[in-house]
Amino acid sequence: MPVDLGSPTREPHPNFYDNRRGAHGFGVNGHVNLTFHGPTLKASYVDLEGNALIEEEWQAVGGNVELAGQRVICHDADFHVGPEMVRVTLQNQIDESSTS
Amino acid sequence: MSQSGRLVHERRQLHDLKDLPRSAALSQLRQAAEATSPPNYPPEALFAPAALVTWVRTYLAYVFHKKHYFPEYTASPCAAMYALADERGGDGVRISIAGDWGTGTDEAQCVARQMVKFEPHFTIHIGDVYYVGDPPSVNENCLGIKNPNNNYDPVTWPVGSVGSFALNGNHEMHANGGGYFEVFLPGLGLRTPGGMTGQQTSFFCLQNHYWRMIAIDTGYNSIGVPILSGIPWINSIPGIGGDCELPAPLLKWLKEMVRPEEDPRGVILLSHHQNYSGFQDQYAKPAQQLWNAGLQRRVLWFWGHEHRLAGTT
Repeated sequence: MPVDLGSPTREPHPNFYDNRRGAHGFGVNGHVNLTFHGPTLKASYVDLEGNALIEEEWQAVGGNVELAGQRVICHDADFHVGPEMVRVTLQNQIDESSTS
Repeated sequence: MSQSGRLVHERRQLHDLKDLPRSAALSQLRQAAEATSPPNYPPEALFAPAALVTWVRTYLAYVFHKKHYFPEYTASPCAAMYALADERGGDGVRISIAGDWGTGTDEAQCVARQMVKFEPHFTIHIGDVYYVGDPPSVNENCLGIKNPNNNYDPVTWPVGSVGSFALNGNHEMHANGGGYFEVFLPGLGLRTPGGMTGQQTSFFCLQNHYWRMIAIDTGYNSIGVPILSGIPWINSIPGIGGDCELPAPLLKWLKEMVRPEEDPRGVILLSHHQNYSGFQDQYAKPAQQLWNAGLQRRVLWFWGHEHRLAGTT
């Protein structure tokens, strides 16, 4: 802290980053909450106001940790989401629809 | 309002920490300036004679003192291996993690409040207590104890219902690690009826049937040779600039207790410094060491130091 702002300047570019500016002139992200249930881990990234921004689901599979899905909750124009993340989210939705 | 008509805040302001250099000398100068003109010191306080005298005294004390010794895993009754479980031993566990939190600002208090709402079993701070993580800074910014050197209200780190841990950052090492190892860690660890057990080491593992959360200390060797490490080009000479090399006792713990090459559980890494970044410096050394220690698979890694939310695959 204070939370920095700005766009990535080098590789690797992030799949998502929060570039929202608060009233104090700095960034507004806060902390991450993790919830474990068996081999499943849910991560929820929360800002200073207590708003969840992105939720992820991870699985422990054969010694590796695999991303099972992501859900973008914040749709602010300064909350940047890259194409890789969109692909994972869409894939997750496809998986959900195929099982329903 | 103060007598001079200036608006006086009850806590340190984010602007006081703006562009804080990652250098022990300049972090010590910020702290000295604040101490000589509390509260809400103006920028010109950096050049006040009293601030400069205090800075020279504290900075030289830092330069000519050794780093705090690095505790081995044998200092911990459980060899720094803890159960990732709720109060009843179940695996439905909630953990709340924040980094670069130890600022003593209203925003830090706000984050602490948000973390408590989650009702976490564990809370973990992944490093950096400002300005220099010395005992008064840890007391003021983490333990809710007023700093006699200023007039700010202190902030308290939220402890989970089962326990709480903290990692070492570069700012803690700007005071040689004394505040972190001697003041912060004794109040952490697991909750017991008699109080907190203390966190004896700056590295630890939380584990259950499916997961291992392995926390490493990248802060201890993040500061290079005083003065020289702040000079571009010169600080790229091996041994001059800090490279976040994991200390030998931590590698010994990985080899003797964690033994990652033999373990089939999913691994979540925690560290203060980033392995890579799209925004600023990268620290590759710890990952190389982890690989050499047998951790050769896909992990989920949370780190701080960058002061921003970003996710990279």
